[in-house]
Amino acid sequence: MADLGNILLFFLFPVSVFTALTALAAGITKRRGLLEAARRGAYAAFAVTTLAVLALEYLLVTSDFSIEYVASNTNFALPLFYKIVALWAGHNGSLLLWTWIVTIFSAIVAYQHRHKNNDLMPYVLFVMATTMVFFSILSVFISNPFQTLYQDFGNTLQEFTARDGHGLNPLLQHPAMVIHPPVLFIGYVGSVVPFAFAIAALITGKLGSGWIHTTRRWALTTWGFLAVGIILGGKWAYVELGWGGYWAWDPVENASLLPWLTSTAYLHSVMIQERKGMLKIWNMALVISTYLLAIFGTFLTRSGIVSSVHAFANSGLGPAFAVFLSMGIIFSLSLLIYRRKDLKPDEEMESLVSRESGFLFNNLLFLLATIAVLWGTMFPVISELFTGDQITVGPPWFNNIMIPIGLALLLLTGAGPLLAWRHTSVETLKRSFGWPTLGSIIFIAILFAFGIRDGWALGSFAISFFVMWTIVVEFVKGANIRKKNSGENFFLAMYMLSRKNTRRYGGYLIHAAMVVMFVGFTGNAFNTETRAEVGEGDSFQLGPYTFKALTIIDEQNDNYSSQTLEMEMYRDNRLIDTISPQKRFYFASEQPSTEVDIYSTIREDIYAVLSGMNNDGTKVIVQVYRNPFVSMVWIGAFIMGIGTLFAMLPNLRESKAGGE
Amino acid sequence: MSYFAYLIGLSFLVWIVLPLFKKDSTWISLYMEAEELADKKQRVYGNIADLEFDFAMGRLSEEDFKIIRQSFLSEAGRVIEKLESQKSSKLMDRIKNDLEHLGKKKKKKKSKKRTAVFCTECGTENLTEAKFCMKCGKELS
Repeated sequence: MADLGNILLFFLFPVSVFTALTALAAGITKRRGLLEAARRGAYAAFAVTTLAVLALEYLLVTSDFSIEYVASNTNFALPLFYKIVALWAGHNGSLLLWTWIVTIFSAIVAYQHRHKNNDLMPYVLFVMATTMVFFSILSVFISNPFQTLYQDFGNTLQEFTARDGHGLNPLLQHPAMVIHPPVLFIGYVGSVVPFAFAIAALITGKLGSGWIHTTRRWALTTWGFLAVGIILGGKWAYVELGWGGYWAWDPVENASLLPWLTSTAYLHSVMIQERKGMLKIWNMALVISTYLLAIFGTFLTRSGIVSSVHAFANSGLGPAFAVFLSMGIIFSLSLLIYRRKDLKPDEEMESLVSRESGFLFNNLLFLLATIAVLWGTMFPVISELFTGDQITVGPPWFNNIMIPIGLALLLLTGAGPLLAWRHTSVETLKRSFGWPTLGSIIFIAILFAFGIRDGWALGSFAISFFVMWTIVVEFVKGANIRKKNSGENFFLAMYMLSRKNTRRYGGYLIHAAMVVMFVGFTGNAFNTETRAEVGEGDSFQLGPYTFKALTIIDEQNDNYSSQTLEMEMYRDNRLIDTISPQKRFYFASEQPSTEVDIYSTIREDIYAVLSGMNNDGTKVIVQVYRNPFVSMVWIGAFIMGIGTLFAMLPNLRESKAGGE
Repeated sequence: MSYFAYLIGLSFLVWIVLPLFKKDSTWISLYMEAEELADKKQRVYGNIADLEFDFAMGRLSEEDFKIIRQSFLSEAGRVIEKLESQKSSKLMDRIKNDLEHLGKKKKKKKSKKRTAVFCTECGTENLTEAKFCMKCGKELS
C-alpha cells in the first residue's frame, strides 16, 4: 500500500507540470484542446492525490510501522479516530493535506467554469497548477509521508518495521485539534482561488468587475473558514495548553491572523470598487497579499525560523518556501506595475464624511494591523539579523498596538454603516449618531458606578454598546420601513429585508458577532488567578469561590496513566459543581499532558489546571483562573459562522442588485 | 501492487494528453468594451438602489438625495445610450454580414425588438430596460 501511495503521489508532479504548461499554452493560443487538457490535468491531479491520501489513511489505520510517518505519529493503543486524523498531526501528512486541498479546489474551479470564462480560465488554471507543482515537489521529493523506516545494520541501511509507534502528540489528542487544521487549511488554500483570478485578470487585461463577481463567494467562504479555523486554534490552546488563555500572539497564531486581516480588508474595500470603480490596484494588492501571506504562514510554521507551540519541528523546507514566495512577490508586483495604467480609478472621492471614506479608514486600520503583526512576528528574525540575538516581542507589545487598532475598527463597524455613500451632511450625522452616542455615555457611567475603572475596558464596552445599538436600529428601522410599504408583519418584513440583501445583513450579523467577541476579549482585563498546594480535605479561595479538595485519584489505561484532583466548588456556601483537573502521562510518546477542567458560564469561566506534585510529594499543586466572558468569544464565533453562511445565500429577487 | 499504481498513473497521463490530439478549434475573446459598459450599468443601478435605501433609512438629507439621484440618473442614461448604440452597430454589422452571405435573396428586416417606453411625466422616449426616465428621473413602470 505504501508503494501504491508513493507512486500515485509521484504522478502528481508530472500531472501538475503538464497542467501548468498546457494552461499557459491555452491562454496564449486560445486553443480549446489545450484548455481541455489543462482542465483534465486538474481533475487528474485531484484523483491521484486523493488516492495517495486514501493510501496513507490505510497505512495509518492498519498501523503499518514500517512507514516513518505512521510510526512517529501513531501507536497501536491510539483510538481509531485519532489514527484517522493523524493524517494532519505531523509535518509530512499535513503537507499532503495542504496539497490535497489545492487539488480539490483546482478541480472544483475547473469544473465550475468548464463552459465559461474561457479567457480567464487558462491563466487561473496556470496559477493553481503552479501552486500544485510547488507543493508536489515538497510532498514528493522533500517531505514524503510514505518514507519507510531505515536502520543502520553495520554498513548497510535496511528497511525495518517498528514494534510500536511513537504515538500521537498528547497535545493533539483533543476534538478541537481534529477539525482545527483542516478548517484553517481550507481558509489558507482557498485564498489561491481569488488570487488566481486576479492574476488572470491582470494578465489578460480584463480588469472589470468580472473576476471580482466570480470570486466573491470563494473569497467569503475562505474568509469564514480562516476565521473559524483561527478561533478553533484558540479554543484548542485554551483547553489543551493549560496556561489559562486562548491567544498569546504566538508566531503561528499571528501567521494565521495575517491573511485574515488582509482578506477582511479586501471584503470591505471591494465594495468601493463595485460602487465607485476606485481602489482597483489596492484590491488587487490585497488579494495578492492574502495569498502570499497564506503561503508565508505555512512557511513560518514549517521552516523553524521562529519557535512556537504550534510549529512543526524544523523540516528543512525553508529555502524552498523562500524561493516560491519571492517568485510570487516578484511576479505579482511586476504584473501590477505593468497594468497600473488600466487600474486607474473611474471616480474621485467626493467627501471626507461618507461611506467611502469610512471604508478607507477601515482599510487603513487593517493595513496598520497587518504591518504591526507582521513586524512583531518577524522581529526575532530581524533582530537576529542585526544584533545576533533573537529578541522576542511579547504579548504586551502586541496588546499595546492591537487594542487601540481593534477598538478603532470596532467603532467603525458601528459608525460606517450609518454614513451615506458620497456625502453625509452634519444634520443627518447628528440624527444618526445622537442617540447611540448618548446611550453609550450613560452606559459608561453605569459601569463606572459599578466599580469598573480600567480605561480600555470602559472604552471597549462603550463602543460595543454603541455598535450593537446601531446594528439593532438598522434591522428594526429597515423592517419598519418595509412593513409600511409591503404590509407584512414585522418579523416577516425583517426576514424579507435581509433575504433581499444577504450580503448587507449577513455583514451586520458578522459585525454583531465581532461585538460579542470583543466583549469576550475585554474580559481579559479582569482575569484573576490563584495557585494552591492542596492535600485531601484542604480548601482555598478565589474571589467569591471556595474550592475544597476531595480526593486524588490515580488511574491507568493502555494509552496513558493519570492523576486526577477532585474538588468541590462553592459560592456563598452553596455547592456549584465538582471540578476535576487531570494530569496525564502518555506511554508511547513519553510525554506528560495536562487536562484542564473548566466550569463555564456566560459570565465567567473557572479554569483549573493540575500542575503536578509539590517537592516532597505530599500535596498536589493546582492553579485556578477566573476568566470573565470567555464564552462570549466562542458564542461570537458561532454567530460569525452563521452570518457568513447567511451572506452567501443568494438574494431573493436579484432585480435591484444591491449591496454595499 | 506497484504495477497497479503505475497503471493508474499512466492511464491518467494518457487521459489528460488525449485532448491535444483531437481536432482543434480556437475561441474568440468576448467584446471587452461591451462588458465594461455592462459593468458600469450594473454599478449605476446598484448605486441608485443604495441611495434610495440610505435615504429611506434617514442617512441623507432630501436635498442631497435629489441632487445625487439626478446625477446617477443622467449617468445611467449615458451608459445605456452607449450600450444601445453599440448594440445597434453590432446589429448592423451582423445584418451586413448576413446580407453578404444571402446575396440578393432577401433583404433582412431590421429587428423590431427596440420598442420604447415613454415617460408619463415629460414624454421622453426611454429604453425598455430603463427603470427611470433619463430626462426627468421619474420612475418608469
